[in-house]
Amino acid sequence: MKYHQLLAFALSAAMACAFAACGNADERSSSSGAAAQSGSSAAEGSTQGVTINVFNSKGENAAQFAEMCQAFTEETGINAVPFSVGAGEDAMEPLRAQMSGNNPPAIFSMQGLKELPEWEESGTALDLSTVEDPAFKEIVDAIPQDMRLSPDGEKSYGIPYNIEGYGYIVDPVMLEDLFGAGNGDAVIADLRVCSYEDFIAFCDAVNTYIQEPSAAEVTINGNSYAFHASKIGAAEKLNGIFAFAGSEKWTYGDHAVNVALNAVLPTPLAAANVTDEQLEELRKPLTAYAKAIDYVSSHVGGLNGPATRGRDLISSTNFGYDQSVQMLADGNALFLQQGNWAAGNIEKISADVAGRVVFIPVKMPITDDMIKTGRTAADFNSSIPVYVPNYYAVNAKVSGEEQAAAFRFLTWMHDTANLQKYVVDSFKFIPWYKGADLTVSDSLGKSITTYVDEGKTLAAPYHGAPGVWSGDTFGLRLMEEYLIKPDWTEEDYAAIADYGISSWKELRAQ
Amino acid sequence: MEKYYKKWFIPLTLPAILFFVFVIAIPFLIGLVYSFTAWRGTYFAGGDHWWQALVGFENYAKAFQNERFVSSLVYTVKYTVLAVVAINIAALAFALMLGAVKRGVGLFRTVFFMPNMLGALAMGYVWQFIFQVVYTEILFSPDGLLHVEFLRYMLQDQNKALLAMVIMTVWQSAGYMMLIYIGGLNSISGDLYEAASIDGAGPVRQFFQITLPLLMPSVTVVLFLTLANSFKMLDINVALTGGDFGTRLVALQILRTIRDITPPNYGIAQAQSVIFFVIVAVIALIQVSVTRRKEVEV
Repeated sequence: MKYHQLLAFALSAAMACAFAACGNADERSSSSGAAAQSGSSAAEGSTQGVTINVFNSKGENAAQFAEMCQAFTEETGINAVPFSVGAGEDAMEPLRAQMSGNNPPAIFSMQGLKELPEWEESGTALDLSTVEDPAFKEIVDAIPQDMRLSPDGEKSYGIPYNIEGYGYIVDPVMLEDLFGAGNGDAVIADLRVCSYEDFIAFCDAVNTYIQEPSAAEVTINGNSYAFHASKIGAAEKLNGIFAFAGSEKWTYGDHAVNVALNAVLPTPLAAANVTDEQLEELRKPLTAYAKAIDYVSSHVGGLNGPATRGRDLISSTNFGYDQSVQMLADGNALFLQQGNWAAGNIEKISADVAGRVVFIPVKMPITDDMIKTGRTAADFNSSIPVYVPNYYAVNAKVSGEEQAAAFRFLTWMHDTANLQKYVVDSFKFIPWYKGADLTVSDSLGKSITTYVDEGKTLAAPYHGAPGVWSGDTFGLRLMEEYLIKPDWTEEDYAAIADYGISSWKELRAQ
Repeated sequence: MEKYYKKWFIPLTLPAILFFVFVIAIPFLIGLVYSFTAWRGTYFAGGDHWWQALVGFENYAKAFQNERFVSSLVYTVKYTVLAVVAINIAALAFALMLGAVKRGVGLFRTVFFMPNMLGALAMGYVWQFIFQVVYTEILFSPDGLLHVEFLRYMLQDQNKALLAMVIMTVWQSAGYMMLIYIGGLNSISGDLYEAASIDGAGPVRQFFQITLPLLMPSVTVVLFLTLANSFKMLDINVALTGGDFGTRLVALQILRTIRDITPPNYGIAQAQSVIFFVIVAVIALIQVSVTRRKEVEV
């Protein structure tokens, strides 16, 4: 009997310990907090020995991010503990879990205006424009107005991670195989600035060539180019104009439609505060968008021969993200609408192609009268969207020491040498911070910086639209009702534009 | 022996009770409270504590006003009815078949049971491939084995996707339910069938007059399990359609509610979960009491 009693006691004790363990995690921070208080009172000394948790929402660079935190800790004596979510995973749930835990992150991340309301309402996001630390203030002040994470244009809730951009990715070697050696760069230069009509004429000519190769001529932007009389090299595999991921709603939902939104809404903030009149003004750009998507989705290449628009086009096993990247890298298609983040995926298939691809703008039949932001159609057709995908935010609810350590961390990260070493070389990011001489090495990244340097950029107003509007509502409708239909009519264009506006209004009212 | 159990009842059940209280009961009660508040996941809108953010039945009202929630409820009921009927017929048929074959019973039993051992989410992606490629392009395409347009692109239509999910559910859980039925069938005495056949009863009559009534305890268990599982179905739904084409079942709808609204409204999601719980509980209680009444004792 004694034995049983003992066993029962041991079991209960084990249970009690298991539950007690939940409350134990607090110790580390309180002891480090005490250490911080007993440290010297100088600004730098006060952060010595402090531990801060850093939440990183890009799982793709988890190892490199940890390395950077390690280097920071060694240099400053501040313990920076990184937490990265799994690659490609939703970061919001893990972040909320961390925020509710005993050691909330001192630095966390926000995907722009979409995620700001939650952390602003809860008082978690610190308004960085109020921070007095001079070195940190310099960085906050350096954020250009159009990159500022702000609900009103005054406050500033985040430091950009980096900038990203997207457009049609094109392989210059493919163009040389079509138009002769030495002509690749010239064709790209003309495609970069040509009108929508020229672009469509060019695509039609390539389409004809795919079916019946001949030495026909095509004129882009006033310059004529003659095709090779017969297919050579990469051109032999070409079977369509566009690589298209029909099952990925965000490619035509978020990104393509964003180009059209730029006609009326110059910034995410403008989209967040959109008026009914502005939504009505979006009708024409959205119709233009529908026309462009109609053309793109009816000229799709495939891994096993050309595709036709229909139910197959939205099947994730045939037209998913990976397949679309492969179509471009394998030379089945000429253009792929994607961003510079696709560089790694292209490289996995062909390092050669990844080393030379560049962007041309996503073209749409948008005319001067549709644009309400003072820009021109020519400007539109030669610009690509470049924007901040993610921001570092500082947690207003952690102790003063931890906040000071967080400022130090972000300041340290923006030191030129560290920016080059970690952000640019290790994370493969394009830095937003232009105060220094930084060299971006990957081909797509370089292509984006050429647009930035020329000032040929569009914004990402879709970040300011209601959370689920662009992809899960508008993009979803396009997928469920239109991409499965072989033929679109003028009524369909109008219906697509109308749904975009009405669903926006509906979601805004919620 | 009885004295032993009396004395040791509390120490032996304590771990299980503690686990139930901490892992199920307390979170459930907290959830119930949250469903009446403006809970946003990490904070309460309008106050630091839950009692400052009470909104009464507003979350429940909003849940029922939400078209997506109501249509997901209807869709879940349709799915549950189809899945319960299909799984039961398949499981009982397998069990009867295995009772009739003489050789290789162990092998068949293993094969039928096998799908149950695989993770539903992973298998869901395998079945997505089966529906998108094997069904659509190989078996039922115009140049395939047999052209059946209805069986192509099954994940791209609300009704066809329902059928696709039922097909996969049957494949996955019929083997498990079959084991319960086999247990039930084995407990029916062979004397009864012998007596019945001497009295001139055929196989059909034997099934309805002997097998089914005596199998009712197993039917109660299987019906309860399939009903509850179908109502709670999430992983197959996520993997096969992700809720596109109006195919959100209730569990997925609750999960997506927090993404549909910015800032995320966990209060409404929680209210949906409570409604969902009440529905499942009521149906399960009715079902168990009805089938219990049909059970007979020999």
